[in-house]
Amino acid sequence: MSTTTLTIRNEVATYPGGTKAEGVAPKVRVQALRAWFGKQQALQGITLDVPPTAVTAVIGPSGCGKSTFIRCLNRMHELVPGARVQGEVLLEGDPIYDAAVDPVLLRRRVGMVFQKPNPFPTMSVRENVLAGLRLTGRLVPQHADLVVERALCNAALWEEVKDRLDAPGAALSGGQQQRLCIARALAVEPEVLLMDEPCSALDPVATARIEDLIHVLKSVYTIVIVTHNMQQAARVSDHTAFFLSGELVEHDRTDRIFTSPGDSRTEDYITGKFG
Amino acid sequence: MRLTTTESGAIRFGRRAGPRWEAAIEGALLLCGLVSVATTAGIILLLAVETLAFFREVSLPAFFGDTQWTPLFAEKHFGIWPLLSGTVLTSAIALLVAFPFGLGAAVYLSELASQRVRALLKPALEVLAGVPTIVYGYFALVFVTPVLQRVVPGLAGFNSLGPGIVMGIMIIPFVSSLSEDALFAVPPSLREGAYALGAAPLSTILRVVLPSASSGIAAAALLAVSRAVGETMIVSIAAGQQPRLTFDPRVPVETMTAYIVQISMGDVPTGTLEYRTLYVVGTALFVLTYVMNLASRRLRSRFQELT
Amino acid sequence: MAGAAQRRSRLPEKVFRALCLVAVILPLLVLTVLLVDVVIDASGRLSWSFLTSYPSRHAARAGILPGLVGSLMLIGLTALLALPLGVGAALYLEEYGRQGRLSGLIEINISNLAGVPSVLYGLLGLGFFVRTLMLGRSVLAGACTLALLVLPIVIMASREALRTVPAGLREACYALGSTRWQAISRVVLPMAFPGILTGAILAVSRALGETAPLVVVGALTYVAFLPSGLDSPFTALPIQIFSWVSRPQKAFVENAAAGIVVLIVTMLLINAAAVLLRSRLQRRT
Repeated sequence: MSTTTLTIRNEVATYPGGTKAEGVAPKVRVQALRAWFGKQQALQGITLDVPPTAVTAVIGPSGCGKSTFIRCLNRMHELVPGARVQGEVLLEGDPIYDAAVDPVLLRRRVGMVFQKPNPFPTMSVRENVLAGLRLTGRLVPQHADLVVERALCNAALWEEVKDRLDAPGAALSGGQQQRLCIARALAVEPEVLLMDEPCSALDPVATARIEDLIHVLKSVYTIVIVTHNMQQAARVSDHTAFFLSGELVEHDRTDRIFTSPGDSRTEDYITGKFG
Repeated sequence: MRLTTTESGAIRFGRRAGPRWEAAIEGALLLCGLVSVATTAGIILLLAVETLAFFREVSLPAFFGDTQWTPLFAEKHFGIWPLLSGTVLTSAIALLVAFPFGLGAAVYLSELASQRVRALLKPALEVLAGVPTIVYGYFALVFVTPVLQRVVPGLAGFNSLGPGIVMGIMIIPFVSSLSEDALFAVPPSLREGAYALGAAPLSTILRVVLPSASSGIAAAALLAVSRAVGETMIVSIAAGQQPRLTFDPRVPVETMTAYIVQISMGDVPTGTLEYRTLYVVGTALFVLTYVMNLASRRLRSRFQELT
Repeated sequence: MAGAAQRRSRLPEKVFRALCLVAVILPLLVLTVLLVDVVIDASGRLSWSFLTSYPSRHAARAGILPGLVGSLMLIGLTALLALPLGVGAALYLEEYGRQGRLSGLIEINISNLAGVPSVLYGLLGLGFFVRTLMLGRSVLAGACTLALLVLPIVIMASREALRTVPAGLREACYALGSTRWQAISRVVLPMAFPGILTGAILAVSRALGETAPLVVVGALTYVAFLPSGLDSPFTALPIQIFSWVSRPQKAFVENAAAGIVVLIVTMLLINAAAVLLRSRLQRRT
């Protein structure tokens, strides 16, 4: 049986800004991605590059395909009965839709945080954090305490729960639960973190804390965040992709999109003319 | 149809329309509903009256302390334990059969099967509960026991193993149907959360879904056992009529329900102490099944609150 | 792909999936074996004379006629008693008494009664119908007992049926000036009828197969006559089967098997007739 060594990432450092230089190889490359729910086509042929260790925001009005898009990046879209995908998605050059690829293994490299926090109710805080490793059979018992502390620190939750590690995961507040889910996702040591409207179920204070967290995390992880809140996208991301009716309308650096968007549709959306 | 004016001045269609007629109808319908209340009251009252009469002649310590049940013999013993052990033994065997099969079936139908397969197999499984119990009783005596006798040494013609197994098969739909509801009630977001962490479907089911559904599954098991405890014909036919305090599944026993049948078919004169044993055993049966049903309902409502 | 070197063993999943499938299939297989075994055992005995003869001490000459007739009389009477009471109760709960305290009480009782062992209904029938009301060990007492037993089934099925009638229809009736009972009797009940019929069939099927309450109430196991009236002693199919299976001689066991076949066929016929009737009715509405 192969042994898996657990790499403990170093304390994430904070430094201002952080848009990576263009020209760096993309972490995720999407090429001509189409997706369907049965007969209904949700994505029209998306091509874009997700730069590494940066935050890419995906914005657009309801129903434009944002969630479908990121669910194609960790092959969760195909879990819906009747769903179909065509095109290519490359994770560091490896096609994830190859026939030989096991989606379960892929999802250990590409983690996800959902809109509504979903900690496992029958597990304590500690067990929730370790759940990803335990469920995938990769938990080394001697490392457990260290993993828990690291993940909760990285999710900016440690100070608040360090005395309550055995409390049920569902006993935390909404914002804490979401940070717990982030800790749970981080404990698995993914390379990419997908976030599907992570703050939409939270109050402004909790939202702010998570946005601060994202600033810190991006120096280590590649983050793709779906948000319907444009101000959030402007605050948090380095790059922004604007989707409309399943199409990628525009993808550029955030500061450029929000100050001088190339497409008139982008401009209309950003200035609030629709959506 | 005539237009009539009621006391309140409203115009109504119809011959006998009127608030008094409506009230009469409502009253009649209420009476229909109260029949169920009367039934419950009747059962409780009847059991209570006869049981109290019984305990005027037999002391409580004799009932709870004696390990023999021989009300029809010359030397009379009235200890409830032999009948209780017969019931417990057969029902425990039934649960041992029904729980793994019922839970496995529930997991298969709710997590693993496609819609078409599910639509075919689910009603098929329900048929198990619809077969008249006398048919199961026949099967237990005529087929199952002889087959088991080839495998289990010392298995008597009447025993608790055969009817226990057959009862287990009968109550599988109780376990599977309610467990399926419990599994279905687990929010999809939990499964998604597990998949997003890279968990395989098996781990997800075993470590996330089943634990979340555990109180609903426990409720299912309780309900199934309660059904087994109340089952009469299978045990009357195949388990025997020898009250015996034992946990050996190979020997004849008598359950509480079988005893009631035995006395009813015999010629014990009404109003005698021996006759009243019918009702005492009935009370014990009622209390046992009621407690289990209540516990099952409590677990189910607690489960529904959680999800 | 960096993770491709880790190969995940699919074996545990396949084994688990297979075990769960076995859990579904095996009981169904056992049921099939059961039914096939009964039919084989019965094949020697099933004949027209079996259906038309009376029980006898000679197994070969014994027949099931009193049991068949008794059962049919019983379930007919049971339906006659249980349907009006059950539909009436359902109507009260759904149309008149929603959320009232009485409704709550009735509902609790119904769900309790659904879990009471059938043999206890027999005790109730014995104490109340046979003795207190002095109906004796008669068909009527048996039918009353069975009616109480199947009442929760009728009520629950009727409530479901009533719920399928859209609220808007009732309101339309009221808007036209009808009283509550007129709306119910002329619009709601006819619409709910197929569902109510389903409930009736479930109840009748259940009553047909019930043995324990009838034994306690005093159905006879050796009856050489047909029930003459509501107050006459009686027997029923399951009782006859029970008495035969309790005899040690193999020949009587064959009779029991034949009786079971008759019972199951009767149940299937009733169910089939009901399904046909219901689809006819549904085509009309």
